[in-house]
Amino acid sequence: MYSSELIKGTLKTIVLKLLEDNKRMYGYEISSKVKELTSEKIILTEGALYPTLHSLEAEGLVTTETEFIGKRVRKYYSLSKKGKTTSKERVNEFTDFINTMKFLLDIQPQVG
Amino acid sequence: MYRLTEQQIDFILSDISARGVEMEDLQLNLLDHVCCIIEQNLEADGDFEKFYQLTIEKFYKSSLREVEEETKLLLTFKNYYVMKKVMLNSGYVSSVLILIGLFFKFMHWPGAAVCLVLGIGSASIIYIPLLYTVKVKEKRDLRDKLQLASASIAGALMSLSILFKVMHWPFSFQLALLAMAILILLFLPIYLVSGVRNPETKTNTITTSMLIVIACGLWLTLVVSPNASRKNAAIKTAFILRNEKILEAERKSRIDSLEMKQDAREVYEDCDKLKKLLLNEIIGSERLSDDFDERNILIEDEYVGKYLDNEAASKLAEKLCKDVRNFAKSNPELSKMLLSNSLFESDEAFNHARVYDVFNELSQVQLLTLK
Repeated sequence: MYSSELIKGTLKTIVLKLLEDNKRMYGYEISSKVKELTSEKIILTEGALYPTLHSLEAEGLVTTETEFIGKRVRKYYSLSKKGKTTSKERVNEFTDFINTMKFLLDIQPQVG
Repeated sequence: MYRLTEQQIDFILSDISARGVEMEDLQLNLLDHVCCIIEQNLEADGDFEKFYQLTIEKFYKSSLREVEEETKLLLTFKNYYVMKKVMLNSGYVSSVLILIGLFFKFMHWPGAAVCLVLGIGSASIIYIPLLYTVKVKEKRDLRDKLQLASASIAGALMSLSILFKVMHWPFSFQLALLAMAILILLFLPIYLVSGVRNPETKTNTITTSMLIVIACGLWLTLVVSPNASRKNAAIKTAFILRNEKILEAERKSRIDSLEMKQDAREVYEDCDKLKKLLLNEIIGSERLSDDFDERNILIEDEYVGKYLDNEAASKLAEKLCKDVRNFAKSNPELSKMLLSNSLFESDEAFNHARVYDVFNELSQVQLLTLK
């Protein structure tokens, strides 16, 4: 598992990209999806995920709808129009960042 | 797979709330999340209590409240950043405007008033309130917050009071009194109590408190009491009335107005008209009566520009200046007396003069025309 410092800067990008690919998701779903996709290398803690979701909502990047599951309420998140463009920008920016880091840290691409 | 009962869901929700999470949205999100984990991972016959405790503990480092604090921080961080920037910039702009305004005022250049109004205005209405909003976030105690609030309000009121004073707007004195009341009655007790308790800050606190009291005391000693300023106005009004009577007597004894030269008569009549106009503006009548004191009709010492801001008055003042300069040309022996250090020295001199001085000077000019 990666350190929380590494994950913190990319959390919004991860959430935005997942929402872009999956239309609408709820919190637990997001964290289990990330766990599954990264074979538990990246684990989104609840203490980091929910603040990020609330902040994305306040920025107008995601919209929410609630559904009742028996006694409890489930909040589904999906990308707003603004969120869709931001998601693409963030992913592009991060790809560029990875290339720069590769160059900066002189990481040789592994062969085979 | 475990199935949660309604009671268990209620229990989890009240536990989340008891652990210090207050935002409803966040409570519901966390509730759903915990429930999902339990339902996915607990065996159908598992121990709910134990599993719940273990799960919720993984959500935080020292307490669940962290999640809410982090959320609030993220939500307010953007505003906070913008606010801090606006605060710093308004501070820079205010200080620069005040300095420029002061320099212009000293140099007697136009634009001083605009700079001072904008500078002091933005310092007291934008900078100080924003400074309070930014700083109050750093304070945890209610007492510290109250101390900061009272100091900010007193500071803003005090600078507004000075602005009102230099602009000759009403209520400057009341604003200053209110500021000092807040400073002495609210700020000082809180400041003193919290500072004296700590041995490290004790001496500094006492010294600063005494300085505040002394500063307020010094300021108040400069204030002229209402009685004294009324007395002063009565004396000056009596001067004006006396001058009028002397002038009238001189005019009657010395010369018949028909015998006056054209240019002297013009000046004499202009002065008369201007005085009547001013009196009318100030006391609502063209003549001062002998019983002004009993009837409390007093002339306050204001800038004359306040009463001359209508077209008729400024035209009359302009005509008078022209006529006086003509009169001075044909009477070179009076020229210096009439034109240097007087109302007629420059075009702006009139507006910057005070009412008492204007009445005095107009009567003097009239006496000179009688020679």
